Amino acid sequence: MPATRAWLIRALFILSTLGGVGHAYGNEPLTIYFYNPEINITRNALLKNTFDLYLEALGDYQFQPVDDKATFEALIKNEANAIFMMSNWHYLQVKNTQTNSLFNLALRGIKGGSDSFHKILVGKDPQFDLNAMSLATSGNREYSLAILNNIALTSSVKKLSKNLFSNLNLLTVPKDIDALMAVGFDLADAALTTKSSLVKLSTIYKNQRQALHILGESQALKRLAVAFKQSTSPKVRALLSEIIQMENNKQGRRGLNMLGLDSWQLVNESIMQTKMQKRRPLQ
Amino acid sequence: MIVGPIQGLREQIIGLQQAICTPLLCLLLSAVVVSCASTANLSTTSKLNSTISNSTTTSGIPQKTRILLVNTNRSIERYRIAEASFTTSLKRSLTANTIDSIDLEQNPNPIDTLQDLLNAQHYDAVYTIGAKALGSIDYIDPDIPIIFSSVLNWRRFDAQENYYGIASEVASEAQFAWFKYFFPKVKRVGVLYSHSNQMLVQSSQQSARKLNIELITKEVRSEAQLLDTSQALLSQVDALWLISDPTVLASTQKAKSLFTEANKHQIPIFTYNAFFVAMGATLSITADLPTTGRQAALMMKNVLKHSTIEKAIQFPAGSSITLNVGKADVYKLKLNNDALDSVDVIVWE
Repeated sequence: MPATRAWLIRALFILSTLGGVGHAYGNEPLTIYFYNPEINITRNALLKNTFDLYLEALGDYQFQPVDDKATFEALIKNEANAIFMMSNWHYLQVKNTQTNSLFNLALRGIKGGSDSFHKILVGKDPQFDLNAMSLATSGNREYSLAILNNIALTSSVKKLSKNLFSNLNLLTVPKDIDALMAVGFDLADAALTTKSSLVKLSTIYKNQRQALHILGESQALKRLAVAFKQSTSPKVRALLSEIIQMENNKQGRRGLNMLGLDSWQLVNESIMQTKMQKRRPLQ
Repeated sequence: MIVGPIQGLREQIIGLQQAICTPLLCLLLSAVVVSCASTANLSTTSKLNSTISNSTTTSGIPQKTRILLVNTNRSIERYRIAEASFTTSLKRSLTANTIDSIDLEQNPNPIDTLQDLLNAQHYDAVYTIGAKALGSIDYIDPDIPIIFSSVLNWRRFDAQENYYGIASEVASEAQFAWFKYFFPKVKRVGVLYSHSNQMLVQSSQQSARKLNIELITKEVRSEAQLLDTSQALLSQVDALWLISDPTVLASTQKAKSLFTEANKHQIPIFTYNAFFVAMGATLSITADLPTTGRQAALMMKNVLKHSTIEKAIQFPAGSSITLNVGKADVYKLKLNNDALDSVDVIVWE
């Protein structure tokens, strides 16, 4: 299996070269559109800058963060020749709509060898009432409430129920660690954050970590998704292969780090394989 | 951030909106000014805007609340961001029925203007943005809660009854936590300060200790002493923490010479304002402005509910981080790559 995977990546690299050459004759740069409700949009300029620095050396490509969900979904609907980088939560929402049934997952983000993560509800007081407390979170309201609902599904947190969320005081902060420190410094009663951020806090500030309790935990949530339309072109596949290669390049690794990732995992191997089998006689 | 083709599209839409809406907006503003003239004598440079939210109210909050928002100068971006974020948050949380906002930019008589407003209309609370707004309200000292943000000398209001606020800088403890997160090998941090910051430096030493960081302090008694004192300090530390100090940062020239000296010693500077990154600082940790507005809105909600507020003045809950990767490379600092997912702005060289 690893041999097949290595062969696939090599073949994708060849394809990327061919696709890059072909693409040089096109008028429009091929775009990776990005929208993620899990992170603060103030970082969009930084992400564009970092990804464009990586992509500009590889071909006529660009990275295009999008501020709002509606604009991003309109792009998915109207742009066939593009790549979409998005939270898995949002990907599933889009995928489940009838009109986007041809919207497919290609790559999945990996961190610490895992393609999933857990969100946790953290507070200083194990006795909590979401109706009366303030909750610091780095995600937008819609995403944060969805995660709270997910946490409410787990049997260990029976105190949570959907009707308690209506009066919840959300304090949106830029980063997961901000949310944790907000609780640590008594600026909020609880934080919605990731397990890995809690581990980070314990390495930098053990005392503050020790004062915090995990009040609830979500089911495993998949990391960032990279998706494209079924009717994809060789240029799109070439750009996908450049994304996979990010971990092998210093600027690419910085881009991955900005997203909290180590690498990408090829998910939709079948589509790539079909195209590469067609190319075999040419080699 | 939308740039490129989407930005072009947006600009076209905004242009269209302006072409259609500007005459309407002028009419609306005229109507607001006329209606306000009957309740208060406003100067021509201070127009009162009302945002009405036809909302149900959350339990514990008066049914019809009216808030006065006083902005020192709406043309200053950080003040404008705080106002927008506060207003959006408060409307979403369904607590306020009306927010009247006033801009004090170019207002030569802010106290008179505000006094007239407060005489003419009952307000449940006031939110002030910036020093001029807070200073003017403080002079009047109305018997209602005052919530403030974007004020440098916020410590003066720490024990003042009815005054609540968000400090302008990230807590030193949180700043040290970020230093440690980005540069785990940095253990000894130096700070130059004058007498006016003595209390801050003393409490910061305790904060640093909690994070296993040694804060080495040097008092600068006069501007003339700055270079000699900094040379002595730079030879003892892994990094220099630059704080807002009237003697250390007495002039741009002094600041530049301090940066030159630190560079000679290959010592990175960590600071409280992103402005210094352009001068050669390696890392800046500043308050995230939209979060400050949201925090003020949450505080307003709690004040109106008469909830117990443990801390009348809070440090900002959100951080904005600028990192100069080029400087970190030059100084051969061990950068924690995992921390890059927390950076807001990167300078590559």
